[in-house]
Amino acid sequence: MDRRQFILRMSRIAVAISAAGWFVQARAGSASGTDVNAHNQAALMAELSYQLLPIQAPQSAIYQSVVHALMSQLTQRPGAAELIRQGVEAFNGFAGKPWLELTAKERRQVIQALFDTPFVSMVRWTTQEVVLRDRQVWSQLGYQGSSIEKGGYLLRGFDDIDWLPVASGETK
Amino acid sequence: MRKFALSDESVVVVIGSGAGGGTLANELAQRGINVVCLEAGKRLAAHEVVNDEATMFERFTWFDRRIGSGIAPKDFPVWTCKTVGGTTMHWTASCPRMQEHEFRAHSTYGDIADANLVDWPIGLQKLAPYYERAEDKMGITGTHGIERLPGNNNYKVLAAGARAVGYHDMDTNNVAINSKPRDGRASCLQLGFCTSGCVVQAKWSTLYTEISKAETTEHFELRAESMVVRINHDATGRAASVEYIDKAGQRHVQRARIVCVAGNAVETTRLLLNSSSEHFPAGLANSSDQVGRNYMRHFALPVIGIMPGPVNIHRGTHQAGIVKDERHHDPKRGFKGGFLFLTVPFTPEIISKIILKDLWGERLVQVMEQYDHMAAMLVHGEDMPQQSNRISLHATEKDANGLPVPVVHYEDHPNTKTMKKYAAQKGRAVYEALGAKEIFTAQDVFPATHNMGVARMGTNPQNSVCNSWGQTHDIKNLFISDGSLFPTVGCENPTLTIVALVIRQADYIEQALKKGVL
Repeated sequence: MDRRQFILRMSRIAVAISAAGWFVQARAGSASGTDVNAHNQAALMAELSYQLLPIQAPQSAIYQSVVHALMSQLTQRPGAAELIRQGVEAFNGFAGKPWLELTAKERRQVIQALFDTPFVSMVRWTTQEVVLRDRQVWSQLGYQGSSIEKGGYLLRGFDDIDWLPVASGETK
Repeated sequence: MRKFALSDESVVVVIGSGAGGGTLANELAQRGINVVCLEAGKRLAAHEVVNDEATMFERFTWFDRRIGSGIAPKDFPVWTCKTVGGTTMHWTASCPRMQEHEFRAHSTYGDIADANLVDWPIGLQKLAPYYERAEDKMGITGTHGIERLPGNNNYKVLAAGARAVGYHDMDTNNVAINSKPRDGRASCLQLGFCTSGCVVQAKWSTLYTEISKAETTEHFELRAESMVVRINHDATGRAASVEYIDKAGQRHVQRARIVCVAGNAVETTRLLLNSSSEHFPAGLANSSDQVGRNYMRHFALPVIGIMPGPVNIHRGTHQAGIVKDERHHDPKRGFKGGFLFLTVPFTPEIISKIILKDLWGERLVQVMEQYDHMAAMLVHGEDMPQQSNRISLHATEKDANGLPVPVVHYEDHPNTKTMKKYAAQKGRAVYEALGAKEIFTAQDVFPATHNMGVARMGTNPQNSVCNSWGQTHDIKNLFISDGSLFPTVGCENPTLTIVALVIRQADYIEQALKKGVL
């Protein structure tokens, strides 16, 4: 872990500790609030996916695709249903009221506090796989994907860099 | 195409079809020696290789369960391939030779605490003729009059930054990728992402070089989707047959005159240990208790710079350039051995998911939106053999074939920790010299792709598994034919050295068969 990562990690832990104290108190006052149906699970995961990688508008269908990919894991991955159930419960239970009803800032604080949990890891991983394999997102980022259809980059800019300093004895 | 009977006890059975197994099998077949090559994975047709990282990752990766321990990723400690061609499908074709001093690691570095250091039983001088043959066979640029590839943008950034910090030993690398059509294969189109397999077959892979050539002889049979589970021996302790499970789940036993194991370090270890018997209770060829130990890899430290102008790292050859100034042994730096800087491209998915794994939200998007301005390198350096870094079999967990799940335990030696810290600073300096706006590095985020050292060569049977020919000390007709042989690993990509070693092994087997001693 380099210094930058170390500072990031430390600040994250600090936020997590302070947020946890605040939320634990709030949660003690709430009764149940953990009986979450599938619809609520899906809505929560779509918003969480957006918050983790807000590269398109929150209502973009891409975040629904992430939810579909997560739901498909229910049948493929043992324990996925329980992991999601517990994860959603943790998010909704953290502040004593449903996570989706918190302000945007509060929602992000909860993510920060729960970032290292298996549920967030699962949503984050699936988000990356769905969103960053999307061709529209690729073009947004400047990644051009498969190149064989156009004959590779041999004649299409593999060496077209023009901003480097010219070393002595070289020509651009 | 030749078919051999299961009862044919005259054949050499080669287990694995990658750089070691595929090459050895062809070398033997070309000499008129009958070979049955057993490969666990499927054979991909040419049209099944596509220019897409995520698709090919799913298509040829070895996904059977392995457990990582220590700093090895827990669920996916190594990235190897389960396909005909083995890891030569996803390799980057980078082929620097090892340096002379790296064959004499113990003599050069001296005793190092907690390092099980030895010298190789052969030096560069003895291996040089085999390097020559390997380079010619593989068509390696910068050797045998083969033109080097042109440098892509990512290399130009690396080279300019390296020059700016005072380095001078750099070029577009020795790669097993055709710069001109050669050996019936096309030249490089700078497609990008060599790790997804090469659609135009400019990159050397045993799938369409060694295996195809072996199949033109009458001395070779490939059995794909054949997972070897055990090597059996006879009453005298000689390897006698190989048990494998075919794609229908049927178990077969192939008789053998000689058995050569080239499963990549994890599977080679698992097979030797899982073949234990009353005669060999600790596993085959393991009287030294060194099988599975001294597991080495190269740390793979990514450095990404957000540069002042566009780079488009996804365009062109994967390891398109190399800086070699730090690869020498210079104890003044505070560690033994050296390291290399190599260009590397990453897809947005890999950068975001793995390298920037601590970032999320607007901050992550802000970084990712500069993808086209990213330059990237991978730094890798020499590792130390440690007895405790070990591949072993899980006591209770079994996979779908009923085989014990391999456990890959790896921790950095203190020498490696010091080298990594130094190398990361030097890598950052290269991009800083060109005015990089931000630089990201990450440690221990990737599964290992260079897996070596678990059945090492040596002259002393008490602390090594094989002799310099890869013949095991304990069982004369059992050979190891992959990177498991390496007593130490230098800092260079291992495939060229593996190919050189198995060409040498093929010479030895041929002579031994002629003399009737095997």
